[in-house]
Amino acid sequence: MAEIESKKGEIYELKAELNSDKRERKKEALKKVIASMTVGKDVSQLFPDVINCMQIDNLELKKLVYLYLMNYAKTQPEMAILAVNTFAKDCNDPSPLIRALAVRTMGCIRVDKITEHLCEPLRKCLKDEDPYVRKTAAVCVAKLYDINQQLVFDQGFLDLLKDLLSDSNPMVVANAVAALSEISEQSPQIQVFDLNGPTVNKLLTALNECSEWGQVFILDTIANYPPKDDKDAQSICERITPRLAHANSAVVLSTVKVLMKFLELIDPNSEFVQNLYRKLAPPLVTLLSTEPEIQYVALRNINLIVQKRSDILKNEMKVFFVKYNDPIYVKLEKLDIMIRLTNSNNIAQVLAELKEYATEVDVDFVRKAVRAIGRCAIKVEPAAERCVNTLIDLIQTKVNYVVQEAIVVIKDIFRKYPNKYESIIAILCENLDSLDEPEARASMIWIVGEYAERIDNADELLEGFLDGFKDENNQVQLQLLTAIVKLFLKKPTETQELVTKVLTLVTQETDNPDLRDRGYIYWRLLSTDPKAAKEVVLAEKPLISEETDLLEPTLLDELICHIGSLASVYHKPPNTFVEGRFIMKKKLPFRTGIHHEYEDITTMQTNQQQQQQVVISSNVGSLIDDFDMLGPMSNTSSTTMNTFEHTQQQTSSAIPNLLDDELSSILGLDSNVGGHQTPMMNTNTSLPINRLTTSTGNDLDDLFGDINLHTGPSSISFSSPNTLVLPKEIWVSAQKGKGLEISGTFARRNNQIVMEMDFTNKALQSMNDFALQLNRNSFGLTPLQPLQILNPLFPNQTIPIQLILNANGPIMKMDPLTNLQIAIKNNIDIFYFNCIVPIHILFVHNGEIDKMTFLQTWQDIPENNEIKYQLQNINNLSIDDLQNKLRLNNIHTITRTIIEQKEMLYQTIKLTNGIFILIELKITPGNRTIAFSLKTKVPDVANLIIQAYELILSSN
Amino acid sequence: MIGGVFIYNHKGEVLISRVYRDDIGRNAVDAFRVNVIHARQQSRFPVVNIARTSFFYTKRSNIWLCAVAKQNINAAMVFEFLGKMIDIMQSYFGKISEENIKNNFVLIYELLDEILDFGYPQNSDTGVLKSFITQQGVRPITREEQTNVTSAVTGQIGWRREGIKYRRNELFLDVIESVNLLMSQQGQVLSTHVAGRVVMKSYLSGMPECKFGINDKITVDNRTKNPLDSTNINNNSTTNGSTNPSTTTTKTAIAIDDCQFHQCVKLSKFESEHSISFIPPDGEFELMRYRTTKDISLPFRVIPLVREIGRTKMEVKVVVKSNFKPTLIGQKIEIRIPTPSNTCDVQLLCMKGKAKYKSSDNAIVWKMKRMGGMKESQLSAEIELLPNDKKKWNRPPISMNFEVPFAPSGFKVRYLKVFEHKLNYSDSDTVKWVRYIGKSGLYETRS
Repeated sequence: MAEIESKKGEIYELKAELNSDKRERKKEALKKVIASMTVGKDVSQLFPDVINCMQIDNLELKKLVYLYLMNYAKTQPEMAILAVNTFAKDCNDPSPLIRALAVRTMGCIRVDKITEHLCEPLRKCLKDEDPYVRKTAAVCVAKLYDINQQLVFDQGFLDLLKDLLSDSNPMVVANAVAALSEISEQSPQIQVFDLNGPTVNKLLTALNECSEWGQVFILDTIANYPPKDDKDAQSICERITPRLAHANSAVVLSTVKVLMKFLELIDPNSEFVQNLYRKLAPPLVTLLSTEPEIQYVALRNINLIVQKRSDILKNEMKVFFVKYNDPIYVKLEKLDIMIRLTNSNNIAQVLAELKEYATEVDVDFVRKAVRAIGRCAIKVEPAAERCVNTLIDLIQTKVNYVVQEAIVVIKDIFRKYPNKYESIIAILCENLDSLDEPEARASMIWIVGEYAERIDNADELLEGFLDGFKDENNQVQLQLLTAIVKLFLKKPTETQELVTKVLTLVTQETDNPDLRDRGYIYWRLLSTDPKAAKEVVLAEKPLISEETDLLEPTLLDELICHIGSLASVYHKPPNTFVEGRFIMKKKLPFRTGIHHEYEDITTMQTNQQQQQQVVISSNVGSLIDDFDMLGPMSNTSSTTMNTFEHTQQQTSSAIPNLLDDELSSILGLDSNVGGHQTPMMNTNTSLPINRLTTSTGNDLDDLFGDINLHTGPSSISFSSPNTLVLPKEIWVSAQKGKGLEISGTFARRNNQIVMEMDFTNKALQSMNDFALQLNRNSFGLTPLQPLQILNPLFPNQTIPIQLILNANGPIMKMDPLTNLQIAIKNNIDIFYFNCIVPIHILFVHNGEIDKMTFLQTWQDIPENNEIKYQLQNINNLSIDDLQNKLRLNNIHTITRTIIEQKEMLYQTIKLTNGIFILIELKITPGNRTIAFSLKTKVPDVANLIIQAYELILSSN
Repeated sequence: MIGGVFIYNHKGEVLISRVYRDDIGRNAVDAFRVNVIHARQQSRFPVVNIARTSFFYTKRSNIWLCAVAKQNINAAMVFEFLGKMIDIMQSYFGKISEENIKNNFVLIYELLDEILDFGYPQNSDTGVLKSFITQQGVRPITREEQTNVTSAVTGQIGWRREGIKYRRNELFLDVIESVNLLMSQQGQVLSTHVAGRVVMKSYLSGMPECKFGINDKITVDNRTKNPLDSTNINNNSTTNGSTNPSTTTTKTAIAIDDCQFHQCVKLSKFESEHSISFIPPDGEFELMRYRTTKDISLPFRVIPLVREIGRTKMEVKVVVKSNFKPTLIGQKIEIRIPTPSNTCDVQLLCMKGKAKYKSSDNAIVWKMKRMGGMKESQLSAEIELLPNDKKKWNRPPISMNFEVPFAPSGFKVRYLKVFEHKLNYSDSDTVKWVRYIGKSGLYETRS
């Protein structure tokens, strides 16, 4: 109670002081109000008293009042209106500082009544004579947009803002750019900001003159500009490269962003690119001598850059050596980059460093260092032995977490270099007891299982683990199960009891479905076909990749577009940490230079291949084991067919001699176990067995069969109102397209050539990042705009795609003439295929010529260029129908006469490339055969034209 | 863009809170306190994301400065901005401390209003800010003055105002280099680089155009085309040997790996002509930063010898050699020799200077006021250890601090020419001073 009293007293006192006549007292009181506000006390009751102070002609005081207003206006909108008059007055003040202050503050007050009154002053301020006012007004438009978008459109502020891009003052330009960028990011659906060549040019000019922050705004905006071609990209790169020498790291990083983005468009083998690489390295290195926080941002970005273009920093390994006093976040990042830059030339140095780091104090850092040594071993083969020795040394320190980490990486080393370092297993086994982390335990168990034949007491070791089976982490349990099965397959005689024990445990006493299912699968396998079991469980494992922890390529590309920003620090796309508004996904530009087209695709392809081989090695152990089981399963189908019966028989029959024959005894195992099992267990097992009997081997096919049913091959033909469209045919089968099926056809709609396709995803993962290219072709067909598929294509989903083509592209004669080579890329691979463009698609609508010209041309073309053919009028069309049908496909009838009781039709066709074809049709009434003769200067097309006629006449 | 800026004391109490954007809720200020300042485990990253809000922070003495944002903003810019903000506050009221911030909170709010608008950093040059954010509360009197201010804030030369006049035109150049070294026990240089700064203090009238010449390899190669006399610099060689001893005789040009300039330097001109030209801000500023890695003359070498005698005793011998001209003198030499945490007694013997065992730092600190070139000195220590320390001692490196009167990279100022076309003073009327200081950066030898 007393406290409330005193608070009231305090407020009362402030009130009195605010209303005092003395300016000094007023000011002191205001300061107290602001101080209270800062620490979170509610001083909103003083609103009217504070507003009264606004009248005073003192800039400092005014600023305090405004600060108060910005804070409390929202809670007391009615009172806030009292301030409007003062704002209006201030906006006309002779002092530019006051004018700017007024408009700046008004923009921060999110009260409708105030906003209404903001429009007029803002319009005036956007055209103010003083640049200080204009630059403030530019930002104010962005503020207003945040409050009321419609108002900004209605009042035409966007245009005023765009005008400021041409302002003489660079800071005004910079703020206008910042405001426009923000608005367009908030409303990507509206074309707010037309970032075209001339605009970019203006920005680049302003770049040289504006403040460091302005440079950041401008560079971040330029990064969103799509250069017209490689030359455009190159010239922008040249103009911004000097910014790399700026003292402000944000300017440097934003420059790097633009360069990294535009480099995509430039021929990687050009001298320009090599030069740019040389220029990029030093400033990136210099960023490492800044404040640690900025270093951290820089290192996270360098990590991306190294993954994208490792050449840039390939010689700079040493600068990433960790310093004793570096903050831990800098140390961890440096270590990560060091490993990425490791190669056979610098491995000695790196290893020496890593050894030092492994003795440091910070646990996370030490672990990472130990892991890094393992990664070196995998990456640089000649150094593998040294790395292994280092790891052994570290294990002998007996520092618990060092040992565990070492064992995890040694598992991977064994994978990479089979049959080379197994001699150290004994040393590893000594440390079994100290392993208390699941990953380390699982790794150790994997090693024991994998090399069971070389470890004399493997069964004892595994049995030891089995004792506390229920308390183990799931990962360890799975690994233990697999390891024991491996052991059994290698030493069946001694380990029957053990395998029985573990199988019983996992099938009966665990709730984890993964574990139970894996147990059942092993059990079935062992009981039906031990040979197959051996092939499955002890299958040879694929090699693991050298690089680990790489970002997924599409994510990496997206992050490259966000260099310098938070996304690049988190290594996550913005939509994962920014809420609310729809965020446009940024993509690296795709190089479509004519001359390098195919070369480009091939490099893309090789990249893709490299990426595909990547298997993340840290998970490899368990992953592979999983695959082992699934992969060859279908092979065993023939034997599993009668499993059920078999088991039944076995259960009832006597227990066979287990030691008779190693392998046949395995079959007996099941019955053995079955005999001891509870009835409930039997009912349980019957289900999986049934499933196996009926569907093994066909499982996967069935799965795909189902998908086929759902989507079906799309054979629906678009019934076109005009041109004949052939039904879609399959261009890329799902098999060839790694799950992507493409069917398509060509059509002519609104006098445009349209490529109509259906993309169907028959794979189990979604697809994205589609791109399409056409190789040069006889008719110069090229896409009018790039292929745009915004959303990923989900499994089982089909999307229709219409791509408008024009015929202005580069020409290369194909064989057959209408052949078109297409390349389609997605996140999985690139697919190349051919298809035939029906020639009638290329007939243009304005191919009519007058009679005289027709006659003239006909006579000009030599006789021997005339091609004759007998067409069949299959559908027995009347001449009018026939004429109409042809007309719809842009075959124009010039005249129609009757000569010797035969109908003569003279027709013309014009192709997209301007070639005319003249045709004479001679129709005898009652006869289905039409005499066809054709004259053209390019006889190559004749056969195709005949085919087109046949097609059109036979169509319905 | 930046949604808000908060300043806290070490207890997590808010000293300054300025929110620029509506998307930053009132609880943001508490979220940072709870999750970072009061967090049980120290946060390991300078950017944290709490409930989809990103907090960028840094600490100065025991003051926390934090910027918040909800969008995917330019992270480098935010940290640069926080650094700039600290610079500005320091130049207004000195040390960043709770007391200073509390006493100047009105000023800080005024500054924050000016340097950030809707979260966009605006002109943050101290000199210009000081010309109109004065805390005097008086409005600038003439209109002319006001336009001067606004054109300075927004102008192409945002770092300098018009109408500066000095009776004596004078400038000082300090070339300050910090030498960084990491040496292995065996004396092998693992990594070394020089981070240099050229700090200029200019007291020049009007809008002087300056041209700065250095002995950078590329520039020197270009010199034949553009001969500029390099002798017109007043070397105050009496106070500090400004001639660079290591470079005068042997090498004339050095390879600079990378350099960065104050925003006043015309970067496009540097790119095209390799000339450094600029109109300097008034007073002190950092003109240039550079980095070199080749041909560095390391001023000192530390040779450690550590012997562990049994579990309770250690012998340490450290030799320091100076490796520069005998006529020069190194100063403020301090060598820190880390000792294990279970040290109980240390016996010290040194030929020169004073050595002390500091148990609070777990180190032997050996100080020498000065040491001439080409000299050698030695310290030996017997360290007695308490037994039963389970942890292995991780032997932190021996670090060294010093100051020498030359530039270890061989960097040399060749000329600095001043042109002022409107006012009638010429380059030769300007008094110029150059000084070279080589300091230790992270100068470590592993033991």
